[in-house]
Amino acid sequence: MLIDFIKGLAVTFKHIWKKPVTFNYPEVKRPQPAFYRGRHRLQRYSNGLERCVACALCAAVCPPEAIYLEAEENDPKRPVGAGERYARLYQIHQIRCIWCGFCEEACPEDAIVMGPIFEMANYKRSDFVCNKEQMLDAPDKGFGEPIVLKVNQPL
Amino acid sequence: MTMKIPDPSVLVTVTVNGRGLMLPKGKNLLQALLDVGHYVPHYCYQPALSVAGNCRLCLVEIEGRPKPEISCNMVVTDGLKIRTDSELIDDCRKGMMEFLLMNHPLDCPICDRGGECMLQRYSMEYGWGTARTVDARRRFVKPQFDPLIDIERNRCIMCTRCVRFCDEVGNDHVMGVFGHGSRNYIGTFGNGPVSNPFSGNVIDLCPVGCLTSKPFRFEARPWELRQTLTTPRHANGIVTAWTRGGRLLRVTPPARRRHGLYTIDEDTTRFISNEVRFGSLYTDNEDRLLEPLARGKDGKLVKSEWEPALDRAAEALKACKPGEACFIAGERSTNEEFYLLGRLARAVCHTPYIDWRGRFVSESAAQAAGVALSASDGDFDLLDKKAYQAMLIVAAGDLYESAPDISLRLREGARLKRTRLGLIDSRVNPWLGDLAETAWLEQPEKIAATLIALAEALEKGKDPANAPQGMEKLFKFVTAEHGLLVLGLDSAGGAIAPELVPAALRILRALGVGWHFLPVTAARNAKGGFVAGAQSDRVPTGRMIDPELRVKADEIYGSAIPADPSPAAPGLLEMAAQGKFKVLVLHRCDELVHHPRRELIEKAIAATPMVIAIDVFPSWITERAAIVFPGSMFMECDGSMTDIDGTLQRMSKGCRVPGNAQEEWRIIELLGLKLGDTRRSKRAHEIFADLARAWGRPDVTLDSITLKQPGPEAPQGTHNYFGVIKRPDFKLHSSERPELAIAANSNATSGRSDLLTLWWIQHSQGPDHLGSRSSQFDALRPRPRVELSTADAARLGLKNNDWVLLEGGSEQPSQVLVNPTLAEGVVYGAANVLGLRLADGAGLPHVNLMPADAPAAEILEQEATARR
Ligand code: SF4
Ligand code: SF4
Ligand code: SF4
Ligand code: SF4
Ligand code: FES
Repeated sequence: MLIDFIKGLAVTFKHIWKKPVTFNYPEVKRPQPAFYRGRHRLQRYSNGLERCVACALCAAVCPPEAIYLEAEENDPKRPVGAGERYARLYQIHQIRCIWCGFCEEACPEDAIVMGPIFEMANYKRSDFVCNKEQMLDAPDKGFGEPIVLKVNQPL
Repeated sequence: MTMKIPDPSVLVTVTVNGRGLMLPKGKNLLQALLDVGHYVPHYCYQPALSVAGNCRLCLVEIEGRPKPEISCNMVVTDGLKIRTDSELIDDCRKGMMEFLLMNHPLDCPICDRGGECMLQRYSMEYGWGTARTVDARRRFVKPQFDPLIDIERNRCIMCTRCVRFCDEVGNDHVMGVFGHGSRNYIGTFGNGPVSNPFSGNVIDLCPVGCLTSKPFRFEARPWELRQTLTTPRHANGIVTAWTRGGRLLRVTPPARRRHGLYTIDEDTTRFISNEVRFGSLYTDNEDRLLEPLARGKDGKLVKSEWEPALDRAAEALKACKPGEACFIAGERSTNEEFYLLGRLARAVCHTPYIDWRGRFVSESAAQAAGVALSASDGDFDLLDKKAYQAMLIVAAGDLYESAPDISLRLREGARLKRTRLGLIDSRVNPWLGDLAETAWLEQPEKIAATLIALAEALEKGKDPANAPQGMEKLFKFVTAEHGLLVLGLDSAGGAIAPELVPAALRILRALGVGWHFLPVTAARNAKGGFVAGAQSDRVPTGRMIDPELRVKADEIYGSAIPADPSPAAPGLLEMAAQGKFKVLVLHRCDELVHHPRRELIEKAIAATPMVIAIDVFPSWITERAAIVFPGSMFMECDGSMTDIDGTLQRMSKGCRVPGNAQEEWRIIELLGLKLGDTRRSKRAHEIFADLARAWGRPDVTLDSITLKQPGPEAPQGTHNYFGVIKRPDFKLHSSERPELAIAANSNATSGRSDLLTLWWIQHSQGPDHLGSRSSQFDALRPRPRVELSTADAARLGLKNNDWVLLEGGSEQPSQVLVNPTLAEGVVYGAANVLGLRLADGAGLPHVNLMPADAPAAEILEQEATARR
């Protein structure tokens, strides 16, 4: 019995000299892997236009129906998105979301991706409804060029 | 001239993929296969349109023939052996799909058709899955097209359904295929809009996202919407209402569920007019009444709660002695509302004064309409070939403008060559006229005389020798054994109906039992008002109220019916104007808002101490009422409507009534409860059950007339899936063809040559209380225009686009259109567009045409156009 006791203490002592696996959260934050499925981001093209065309495929695929969006026609003079339509309203309900990442996979425009942010505590339930403005990348963080099809059939 | 109609009773064996199927001989092979549930992909074939055979997707392999052939252009013959699943067919379909997609932009995420697109579906089922093209895709500029239809030519697959629709149904031939080879495209001649009142149907017919709806553009994805099969309140037709979150987003012909998705394009055979499709979106109008209103002490209408408003209304009704209250039900009420109002008036308020015929300008016109409705029989199918060989349409050509959906149904039989068409009218509409075998143009005052001349000749016998001078063709036409006489009741507000109806009844007797009678009016639920007892002289069996019935009406109302003469709505309004009533209840009286006899209605409202209005939108009528109850939109309430031919149509609730508004039947019941009635229904179904019992058909329930959603296993392409049933007891009145002599208006034919007879209608796209509330309709709003015959225009020295003033009719200038198919001495226009005002309802109005200056706004617009 005493031997078992010493065995146990030995394990304890061995770990005293090892580097701790815990972090001093919130002072120190754990680095996230690239594929981490944290809070959603909406990406842009390099010219700053939104990638999302409001096709609603993410909303259709979302198992708990956490995504709600409303589309609107893009004004070519003052474009918001790169396509003919853009999302006037884009909301993700973060309490409903189960962080499955289906939306990311369904998106045909690489618009919605899941980001590294995992700190989403709030005081009110209504604050968990994440708006487009909260999710959009900074305008200079875009990538890629939108495909512009040229008219080649003058009538 | 009639096409050979295959007899569906002869079945022959066709071997499909080695399996024997019994298919009707002579039927279109593709349709026959679809009907038995054997799906063959197809784009250009559409059951209601002619066969074009240009998509080549419906190819089948036929034993004994070297190459595959298109099934849409083949008929079922005995011993046919076909394959639809061979490798060759698979290959052909793949090839066709590749060609169709070669220049396709593939922008499904943006495309409004995404989710209900046949191209998407077939490329998943029969396509390649990958693209092999490397060259730049063909790309057109986006043209100006139509105010309500969006075009994206790059997505077109050249099925020409839209072109065929405009040629065959719309009959305006405006759409066409332009260009050549791979550069061909769809467009309109002259780059104008698609001008026919049914143009919205090309949106459904287009199997891809080339033609899409502008009001619905980017509003929602089809899978997010909730479908309710229902019928609108403001026009005839069965539709699917697509809602999201309580908001109506679009209205289409009945959609059917197939492969998990609702499709509308493939087998729509009952098209709907733009009035229904876009006009129904009036539900978005924010003016809507959402709170009960009551007039305060200071004389202002203020928001109120239900209880005090109901109490006040009930108090006023209670204080009435029998016969001091008057109920006018709008023609757009449901059968249930008609029934409840009839009950409230007769059994609770003990007043005989209830009527729905506010549309008509005079008492005699309204009474004549009642007589016509009682003489109609409903046991025929407008598209059934066996029912009749000839259809004689009298004075109903203007329904094309005033109720296009009814007009379309009348025309479909002739278009599909199931019946021959004859016309007697004062204005031959080319839309109908193009299909007519014989057309007789006559001045409005003389139409009745024409009918009587025909009747007199027929009474002598059907021998062609009896034909009156010059009427040989018409006479030959009406000697058909089976036929349908369609009588328009409401041109010029029914001014000629008092002469027309007895004449029609006379000719019907002369025509014999083979002929049916169908009186038509643009009043939405006219037949409902008649059969549900909201007519001064009818109880809900449609039976005429006789002294015997007055006392033993217990089965229907639980109380005797007060004895009194039975004036119709125009008469009631006149009585009200003389201050005969203490309370006037106006239930959804949209037709009174733009009524040419506004003066009378104003007087009636002013002379009645208490006016109670039930409505959804504020209007000058609700503004003058003492109490206003807010009602519901068509997709917010349950009920039923009765179509012109007597079929019941289900109006079903798709979303909740917003705010403090209520379903109308509930409002009427609440009012009844306050007055001591015990009737309290949980659902509209209970009211319908009472109605059905009165009709002697207790087995029919509101749900049994619900349009059934066919599942994927339901036979495809059958046209009778609407699930509508025939109103059971129409036989009851078909024998009732009374010999009624309604006092003819002696001043109708005044014979003054300087005056023109004004032949007016209420335009369905003009300022009309319900449909015009749709902002989508702005682009379709008709311009103030009057039509003149060529001879009159020459006599008066007027030409197209001249501005004139209708002296004695309206104060608004209007533009002249010379119409060669208009009777001489007649000027034709839309009352609600022209702002027509009539001092009295006696006979046809006569006007003097005075040249006028173009209105200022018009000049400014012209100048602006010139500058551009
Ligand atoms: S991660 Fe999953 S649950 Fe969350 S929004 Fe995306 S699809 Fe919906
Ligand atoms: S995020 Fe992507 S999938 Fe979602 S609506 Fe936008 S483009 Fe479509
Ligand atoms: S028409 Fe069909 S296939 Fe073409 S972009 Fe639209 S949804 Fe996609
Ligand atoms: S526009 Fe649509 S309906 Fe018309 S031809 Fe093209 S694909 Fe067919
Ligand atoms: S459906 Fe037969 S060729 Fe198009």
